[in-house]
Amino acid sequence: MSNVIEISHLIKKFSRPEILALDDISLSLEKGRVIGLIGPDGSGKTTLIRIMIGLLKPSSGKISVLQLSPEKQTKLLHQKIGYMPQKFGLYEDLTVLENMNLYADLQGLSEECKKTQFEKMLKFTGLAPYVHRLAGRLSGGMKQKLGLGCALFGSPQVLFLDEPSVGVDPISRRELMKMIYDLKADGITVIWSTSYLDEAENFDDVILLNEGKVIFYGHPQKLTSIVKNRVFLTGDASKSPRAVLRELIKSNAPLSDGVISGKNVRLVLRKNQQIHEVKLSPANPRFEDAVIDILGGMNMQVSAIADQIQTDYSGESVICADNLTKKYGDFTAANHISFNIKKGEIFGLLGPNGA
Amino acid sequence: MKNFWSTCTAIIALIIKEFQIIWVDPKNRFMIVFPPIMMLAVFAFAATFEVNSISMIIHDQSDTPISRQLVDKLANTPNIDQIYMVDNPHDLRYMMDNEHAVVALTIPQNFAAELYKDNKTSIQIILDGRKSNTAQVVSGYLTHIIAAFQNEINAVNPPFIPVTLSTRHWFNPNLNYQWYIVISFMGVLITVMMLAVTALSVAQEKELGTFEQLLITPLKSYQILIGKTIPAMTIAYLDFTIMILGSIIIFNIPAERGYLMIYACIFMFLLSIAGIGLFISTICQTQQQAIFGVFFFLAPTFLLSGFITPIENMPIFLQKFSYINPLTYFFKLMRGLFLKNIDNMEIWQNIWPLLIIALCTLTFSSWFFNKKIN
Repeated sequence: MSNVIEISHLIKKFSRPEILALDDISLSLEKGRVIGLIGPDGSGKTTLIRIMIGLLKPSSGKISVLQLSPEKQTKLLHQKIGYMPQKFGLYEDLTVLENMNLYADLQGLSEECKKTQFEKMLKFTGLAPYVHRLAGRLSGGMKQKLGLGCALFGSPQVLFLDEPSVGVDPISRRELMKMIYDLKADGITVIWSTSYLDEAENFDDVILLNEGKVIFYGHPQKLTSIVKNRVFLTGDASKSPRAVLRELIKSNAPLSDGVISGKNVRLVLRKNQQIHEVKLSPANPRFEDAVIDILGGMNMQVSAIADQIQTDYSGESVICADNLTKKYGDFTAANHISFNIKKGEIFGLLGPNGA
Repeated sequence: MKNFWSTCTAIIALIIKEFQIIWVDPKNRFMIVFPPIMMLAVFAFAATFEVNSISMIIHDQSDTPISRQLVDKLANTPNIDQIYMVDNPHDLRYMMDNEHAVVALTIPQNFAAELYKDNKTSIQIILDGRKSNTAQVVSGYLTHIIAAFQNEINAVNPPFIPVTLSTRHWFNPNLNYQWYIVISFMGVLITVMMLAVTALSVAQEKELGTFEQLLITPLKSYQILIGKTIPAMTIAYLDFTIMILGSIIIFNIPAERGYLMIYACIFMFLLSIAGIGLFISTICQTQQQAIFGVFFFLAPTFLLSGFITPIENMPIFLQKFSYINPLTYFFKLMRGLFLKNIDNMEIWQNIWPLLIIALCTLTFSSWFFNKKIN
């Protein structure tokens, strides 16, 4: 009885073009856990969620959520679950408060119920100062918090979040994750889908989907452990990390993955393989390494483009910014920004939402 | 009972949301109030079937007192603005080619002689076929003017007493085309507005992802449908009221059957259009598709409604389509209610088809809403 979701031999086919979106999936998900649904784009995450909440019909197989059939007892189920779709599902032309009122009424909350839930939700999301702001004017992180808050009206037992962290900066992402763990204390089961693998380590359980199949289901550390003792760092002071990696690839080293990491190259070796060409220092395995490895590793090839791009960064600047300032009324969006981007450089612009 | 009330609250919340979204955007407010006024004015005054300020070429080969009398009569006709006199067929041809006039009149050399001899003669009228509608109307005018001229000369030297026809136009005694246009146009404009509010708003919600959120609420699909229909109908009634006020103040159109009956009959029409709009929206995923769907529906609907051309003139297989066209019934109803004081039986004959259209489209959309998105 402690399983909230039971799925057996679930298959979903789409026609035109013919795609096998979910290929014989069987899962039993335990109550009160935060479950990450991870996998590359197009692996079937959204399809699985939509079937679980009754927005899509399965082609074959059985599914029950809270002992209800999403296909037949849809409306009964909708009273017991919360859902946050991939696209922001709120009305951008309404204020935060108007949206809250609407969703509370749609869930059929009574006036007293609304009052207590609003208070709790505003405290929980920190949105109290913004209640009269149009939802469309909120930053990405605040929108997601509002979406989450609204999905919680009606006290759902299971919460489905479809890629809630897309377009959300790391600080807001952490806040969202913290909110989810607060919910877990209330006994809510959370299904959180994401393609950001660095989030996965926060989940109680992860379901790894690939091409419609469940590749792994269990505690994330269990997955990470499959690459134990296979992750290393290497580097050569006299050569650029890119050159080191290229040589390794050209010598057909048994690599599952190799990425440049600062001055070093991070390598994941294939199972029971060794490299003797370069000096290796062991590194901590990450969840991401394990996922890449279990999905068959990267296709390690020398990039034809990278070979042609000159790596000499001393050339002329392609983009020069000198004391750039942009103001919208009183608001300064960019304040005296200066930088130069040289030919052949990959230049990153980082910052939280609204930076 | 508690369930019933919470469902009502939820539907009311949906309706309020719809108004809030429309109200918050000044563009939307403008779109609802201004077009009915503007379009009514533009269409009522611009889309007229009368032809005024005709320019005309006359080649008077006869050049006799009697032919000059005809020219004078034409020149004194209020609808004819400009007369160019030419003295050779060459100039006539040149001026017609260059669209200086829509009509050219050639009075033959033997005009007067034949008239006195046989009491019978002919005049050549050349019309610009490039403007076929105008040409047809002008031809009608000229026939009238020349017939009147004939009567005048017959009266002077009477071989026989001419027969005069006196025509009366019932229901619109002054043949005021604006009455016809304004009443028809109310239906056209309301159709466009309704489809925009229903079809496009659902498509927009699909684009924004809010529609999925609605589907996931405990509301049933027909309840969501009600939440979309009521705001659209309210807006349509608002527009309708604006146009009725216009019809009274600007055009003095009578309402023979009373406004209460008009408002009641409109309800069925609006319901059927809302049903069609929602039906289009259920099969469209984006606003662009919805616009295309609306357009695909509108063009044949207008043509097959009897607004532009009479239904009786269409081929039989096309006439059948007019039976499933809500506008056909709306036009019959409105013309009858405004101008004719039609009886209840005739009203009912045009109401039940609307009811069936509304029932079919609304049931279909409700069913499609319910169908799992694939």
